[in-house]
This record gives sequence, C-alpha cells and structure tokens, in this order.
Amino acid sequence: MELDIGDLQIYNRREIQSRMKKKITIRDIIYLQIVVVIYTLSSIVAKFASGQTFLSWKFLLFYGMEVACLGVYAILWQQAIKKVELSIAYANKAMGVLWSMIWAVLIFHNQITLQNIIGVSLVIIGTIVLNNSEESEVEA
Amino acid sequence: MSTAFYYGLILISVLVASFSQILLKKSALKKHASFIREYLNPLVIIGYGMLFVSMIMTTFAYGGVEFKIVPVMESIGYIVVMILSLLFFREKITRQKAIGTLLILAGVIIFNM
Repeated sequence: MELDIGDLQIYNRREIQSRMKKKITIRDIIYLQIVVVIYTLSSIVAKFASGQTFLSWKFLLFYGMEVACLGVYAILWQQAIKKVELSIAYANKAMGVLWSMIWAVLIFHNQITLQNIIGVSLVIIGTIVLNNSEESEVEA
Repeated sequence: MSTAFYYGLILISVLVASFSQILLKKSALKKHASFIREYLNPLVIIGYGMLFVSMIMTTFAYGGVEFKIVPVMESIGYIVVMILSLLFFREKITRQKAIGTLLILAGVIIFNM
C-alpha cells in the first residue's frame, strides 16, 4: 500500500471540513440491515412456495408473502437511498449472505462450512470498512 | 443453449439491476409533493420495472448455470453501481470504499466456493 493511514486521515479530515460531510449513522446501518433482512425473507418464502403444488392455496399464500416482502423492501429501500450514498447502500445488500446463512441454519437446518464462515466474515468486515468511509455526496 | 448464453444473460441482468438503482436514486434526490409521489413517479416505476425484469432474467439463468455462480456474478453489481454512482452522482470512490467492496466480493466468492 503506497498511502499510509496518516495520509488517509488528513485527507478525510480535509474532506469533512471542505464539504461538511456526515458519516453514515448507526441508525442508517440498522435500517439498511432491516431492509436486507426483509429482502432475504422473500427468498425464504419463495423456497417454501416452490415446495408446494402449483396454484394450491399454500403455494398462493407463500407466493403472496414473497410479493409482499418485495413490496415492503421496495418501499423501505427508496427511503434508505434518500440519505445514504447509493454505492454504500447497494453494497450493504451483500450482508444478505449472513442473514441467508442464519435462515439456512435455523429454518432448513443446513450445515455451515468453514468456507461459509470465512466468506461471511469477510463480507461483514468489508461492509464495516465501507460503511465507515466518509461521505462525498454533494447535497442536492 | 450454451453456458455462455446464460452467463451473458446474468451479466445483462446485473447491468439492468444496476441502472435501475440510478433511476431510483435520481427520484430519491428529488423533492416530491407527497409521500405517495415518492413512489408514483416515472423514475421509480421504471426503476422497479427494470429490477423486476432483471429478477426474471436471473431466475431464467438459474436453469443454465451452476446455482452458486449466480450470487457471485450478482456481486459484480456492487462495482458497477459504484462506478455509475461516481458518474451520475459524483459519489467519490474512496480508497476505503474500494477496499470494503473488494473484501465483500472476496467474501461472496469464498462463501460460494
């Protein structure tokens, strides 16, 4: 790495001073994660729907729940990107890997592998690094 | 149909989904007359329409490639959206953002290996 941490901090501080930028808040992060959780729930109910006879009432119930999850997701997502940079908000969707893994264990009793754990850990670290980057968006 | 066709399809699907986000963000940056207008406007309707098309393309592509490859290819979207956000909204690609995104990509790849 050719740039050391000191340089990075000075660069960031200057940025804050010059443009009055705000970092993403804890509330934003929690909100984004709730949105991602709802998105992953849509694939869970989709999986339930695929196990039912086509057009049976259970199929329609699960399918309806999937559509409802996606609808709620769409409504919340639109609010999320009002405040948060798009590039940051969008990459937060990768945390779906963690939530999907949790559902796979809790609901489908799947085994998790060492690779799964390493992969999820990297995604979590990457998301934390990303979320802590200074905002550079110009106020609209 | 060949595997290349399905890979191409997923890639197009990723690009469509990424561009849909630009439309959604464009709407999110605007002031709207009412809460309902934040959703019932051409940008959001076309944006979510594109997202819907992208989801259908991806679902179709699942039939032609190994299941695990799809989420890996979808994560290319994080890079595409980052580049589009720079072009359309001047969201800087800071070193920290780039590192975070690369870690996320590595994580998704390892998870699905």
